[in-house]
Amino acid sequence: VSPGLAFLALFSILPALGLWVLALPACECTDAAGRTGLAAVAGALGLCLEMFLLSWAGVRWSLPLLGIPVLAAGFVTLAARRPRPASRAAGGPGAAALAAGAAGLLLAAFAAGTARATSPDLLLFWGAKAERFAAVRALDASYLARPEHFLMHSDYPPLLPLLSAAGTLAAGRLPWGATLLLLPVFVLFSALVFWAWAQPILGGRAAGDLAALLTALLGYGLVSASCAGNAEPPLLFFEVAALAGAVFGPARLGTDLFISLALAGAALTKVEGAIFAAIVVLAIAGLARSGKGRLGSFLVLSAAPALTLGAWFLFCRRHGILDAYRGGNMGPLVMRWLPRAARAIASSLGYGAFYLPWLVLAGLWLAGARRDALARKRSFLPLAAGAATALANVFYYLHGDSDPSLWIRWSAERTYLTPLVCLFFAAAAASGASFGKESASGRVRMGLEERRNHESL
Amino acid sequence: VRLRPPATVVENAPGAMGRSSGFLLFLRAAESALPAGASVVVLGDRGPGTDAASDTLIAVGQLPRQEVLSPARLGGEVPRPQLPRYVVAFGRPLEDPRYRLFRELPGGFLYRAGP
Repeated sequence: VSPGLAFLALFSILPALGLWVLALPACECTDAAGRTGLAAVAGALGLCLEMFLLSWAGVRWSLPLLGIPVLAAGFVTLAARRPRPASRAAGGPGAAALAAGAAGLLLAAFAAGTARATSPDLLLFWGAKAERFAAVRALDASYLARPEHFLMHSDYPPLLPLLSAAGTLAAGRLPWGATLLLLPVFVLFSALVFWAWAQPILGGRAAGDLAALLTALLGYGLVSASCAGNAEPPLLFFEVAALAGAVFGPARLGTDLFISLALAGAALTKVEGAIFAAIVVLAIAGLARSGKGRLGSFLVLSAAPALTLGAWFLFCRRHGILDAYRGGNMGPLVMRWLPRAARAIASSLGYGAFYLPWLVLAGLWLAGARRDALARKRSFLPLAAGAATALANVFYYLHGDSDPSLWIRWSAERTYLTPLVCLFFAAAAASGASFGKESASGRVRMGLEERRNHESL
Repeated sequence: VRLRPPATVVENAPGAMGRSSGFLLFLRAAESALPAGASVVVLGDRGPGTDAASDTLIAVGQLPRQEVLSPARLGGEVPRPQLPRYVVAFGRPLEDPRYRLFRELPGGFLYRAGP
């Protein structure tokens, strides 16, 4: 087996490593494709946490040591599962959606695999960290602390280099070319986890159409922003998982637990992921939960990201590698940069397609939101999350003594993929009725109040 | 039309990234010419959009078996025993009497510290 195939095989079995998440009742009511997406979230997060905790305990990694505990937990979960209730909105995607999704995925794979969308950060630190961690079979804090490596961002969240190190253990060495293909792998996982939550509510046809649209959106956006090899593909995967649970999942403990795991994954993937997690926790607890459940929901949602990021913070502090999380590195807040920052952001967000991604999604959202109040209500949470993450980006860019225009032109395409995904979820929540035949049944008209009582989930 | 995998992960990338492809091929040649564990400084000469710190970071990833050090370690005040054992220079030859040409590589030169 070539190193590249062995590396990608490790990522393709992430769902098998996360089967334990199907023990959550809220994760039961979907088909095999949906369960694959849900389990991929748990598999990626679980593997990362295993590698991190073993390093902290001073235990060197090996593939059996990493794989056997999570695989065993998954098989016990599968063996103990009760027969799941039939989905109320059963049905597969349409042939056109499948074809469109596959075409989008293949185009993204072609662009990434032929080195047309490579991120500089792959060469500057993600790849080097993965290679080193695999070589010493541990998260090597002394390597991160070396003065020569100060530009590697020593305390950047560790999920991507840890997973890539696991792939490198399987491959024997880091296959640089294969790391580019993680872009389509995580786009596929994103579509599957969206399907897991959306299909029981919207029906197979509508959820399939929207999953194909999401595949095209992520594939195009990530390629346009040159994110192959960077951490955005897994970051957006975790963000999609959290938003899908928040928008389409029932308001139950199991859903909140799953969202919490997805937010932990986002927080352990990039610094922006922690900001996204905080915004989504506040948005769900504040907007989509009510009464006594609000505090409990807040605690459950914030538990996993707070614990995991807190553990990473403590690890960095103990090893003297705190950098970005120490604060004070960003420079002062300079409001006079606002006009320039706004111009630079506006000129960066066309994605080389005359703002088409934004316009299509805004049009879909408007079409649904004009129809009824429930559609507007359903879409409020992702809209609020999108607006907050967009403003958080602006706030971030306004720090520093020098003109941020160049920095923004270099990075805004990728940092604004999160608000773009939020707009997708607003459009999906509001416009489900305009997709597919199942919409006629009225299932997509289920609002938040109705969903709370959705017993079959 | 001839289908082949890209020679490097940046071969078809736009802008300065795409121009780094030759540098990566050079580092690949250097990696196989250098002994494992050797201390080495990498000097890039790649024009606008690049800098020594980035070149060093890229080299850290491309030379995983070696110990890549900052070009600051070549400063005049560094005692001779503490000099990096090797220097690889991309594009332009090194003019430093403390180092002798060890091997020519595709795209550059490999030097070893003199006795």
